[in-house]
Amino acid sequence: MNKNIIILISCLIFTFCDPFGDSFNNIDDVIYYEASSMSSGQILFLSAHHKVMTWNVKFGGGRIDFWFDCYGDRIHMTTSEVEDNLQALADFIIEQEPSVILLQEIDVNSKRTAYIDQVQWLLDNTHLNYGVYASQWQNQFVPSDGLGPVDSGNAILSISPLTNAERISLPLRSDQDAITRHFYLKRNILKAYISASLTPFWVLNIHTSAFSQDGTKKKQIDRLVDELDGLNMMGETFIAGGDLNEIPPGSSQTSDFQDSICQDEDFLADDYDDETNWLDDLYANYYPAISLDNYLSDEESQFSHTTNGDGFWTRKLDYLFTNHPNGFSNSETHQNTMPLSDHAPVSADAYFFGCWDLGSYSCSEPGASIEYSCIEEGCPEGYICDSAGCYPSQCYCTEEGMICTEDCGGSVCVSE
Amino acid sequence: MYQSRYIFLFVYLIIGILIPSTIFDSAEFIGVKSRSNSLLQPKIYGIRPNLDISTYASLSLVIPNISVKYRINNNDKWQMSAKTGFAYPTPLMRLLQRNGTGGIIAPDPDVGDFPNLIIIKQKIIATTTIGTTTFSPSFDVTLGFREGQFDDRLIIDHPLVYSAMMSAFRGPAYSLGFACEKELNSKWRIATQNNFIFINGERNKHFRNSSIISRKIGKKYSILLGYTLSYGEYPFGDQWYLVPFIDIQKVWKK
Repeated sequence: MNKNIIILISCLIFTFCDPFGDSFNNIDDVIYYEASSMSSGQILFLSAHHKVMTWNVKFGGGRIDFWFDCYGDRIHMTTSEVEDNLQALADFIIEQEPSVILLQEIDVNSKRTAYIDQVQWLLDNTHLNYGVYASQWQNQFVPSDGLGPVDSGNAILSISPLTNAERISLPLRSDQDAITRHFYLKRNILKAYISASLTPFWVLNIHTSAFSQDGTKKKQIDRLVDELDGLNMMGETFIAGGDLNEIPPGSSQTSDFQDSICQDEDFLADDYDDETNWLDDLYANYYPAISLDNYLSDEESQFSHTTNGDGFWTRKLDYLFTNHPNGFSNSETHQNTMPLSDHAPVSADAYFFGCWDLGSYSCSEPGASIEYSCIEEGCPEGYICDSAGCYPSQCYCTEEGMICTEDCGGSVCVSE
Repeated sequence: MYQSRYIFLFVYLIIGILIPSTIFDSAEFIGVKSRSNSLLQPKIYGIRPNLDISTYASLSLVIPNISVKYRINNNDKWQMSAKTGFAYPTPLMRLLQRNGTGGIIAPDPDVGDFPNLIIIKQKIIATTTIGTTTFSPSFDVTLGFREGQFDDRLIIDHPLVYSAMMSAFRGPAYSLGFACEKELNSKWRIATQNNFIFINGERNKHFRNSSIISRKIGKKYSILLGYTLSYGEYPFGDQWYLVPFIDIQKVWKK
């Protein structure tokens, strides 16, 4: 038998073999989604502000007590459990009407969530049309706790198209053995661009490590700061957010949270004593949805996480930041969502003048023929006031064209 | 160490049982008083000229198993044999149903323990030889007898295991096979086996191809280099899966 044939066969065998199916690269591993039904007459928003939301949805697990929280021993949900929990998430999203939502811990093909593609499911069952997804935990088979196949990660959903999406890999934990690390989470920043706006902007979604004890989380936060600084230096506008697994600077409680009952070191995530300044750069350089002053004046009202579904939120881990000088307004931590996830969503209005999917229309200068004194005097009915002037509060794209709440041909939307 | 043992068991489960079961199988017999043993394939005992017994002896504590192959017809061109197999995988599955590293099956409280499950497999194989090449089409039926309700969370959702477990849980399952073996010379041999698997109540397709190249070393030993390639339409997506393997086989006469 010719030696070369044996070598060739061996090469073929190992070339085609990706036994664990968990390798990533930055561009190719972002998956683009669209809602399965988007009619041409769908309502599109054209307003001075857009609600942005971040939410760690705990893979649609609601308040089922899973093994990793140490409150229970559940591992896999049934199809009906997942669908019921997703419906509750969708109902809340529809009620809040965010234009952009940053989701963490969302599953697309995991045994624990009955293989339901939750990104597609939410797009199909909410007003949101477009999505991008990047996996942070993708294993063909996790041989631990019966988990089996897992594909879970971050997603950005939006009413308008997302482009130039990228998965930015974050540093891996170094305090695990090689086998555990192989099957463990590979964190990332999911980055995408929204151009259908008068101020086009980047959206960055991050979920940092919860359980590392080797400084990995600090490296991951620093990586986010580097990315934001880079965009800022280039004059780009961004909204960044997610579950940073970190408490704000100056928090009164930094350890011994009453809801942390795990004894296993692998799942200890309640000691922030040495981490109190890790978010300083973000707060110092960018505009948070909830300012540090607001937070420190009433911390409890901004808490966004607890593992105990029967208790109250114990700490703030979820954030939104922007570099747009208008910052955010109407910020809110939705603490009435206790049954829906172990994190509360955080939302805020971003005051970028938006001009979503204008079709055959284009945008003129905002507020060009409207009095700028609206902050004091108010706007005509059908208009809303921004720091730069009055705008139609909503426009609708129909097959016949665009219909705005007031005089559409006035100052904002003009036919091309 | 404790965790490594379970990982080893899982690897053994895949490589030790499922791969060799699809490697070349013919209607021919090993011969009276002949024995065959290997790292990955079952131990075969030649009892009579037309009767072999085989078992994965090293796994018998956790998966009691045995197969009997016997001749049912013979003429100038074709040999026909039947193979009846029995396996009781419950002890191994319960070992693998645990928390922590090495937990392959989830110990979800609302699912309960892995049920008692008896698998019976009936296979018909026909073999003919043209020149130095042997062709062996086959057909087999798998039946599973279990207690309690079926819950698909108990299935090991791995491409190499899924169809075998579904066959047992949702049986009957049918498999159409075609094997081909060629002696290249006195030392070298190649073989390939293809199986199309149809599971009761499922419209999904499952296919498996295994091929080996083997070389005799001395009178008793052979070294086998091969792969198993599977394709399936699973709940977790349509997937191709390729596993290379190396095996050492010993054949001798007592």
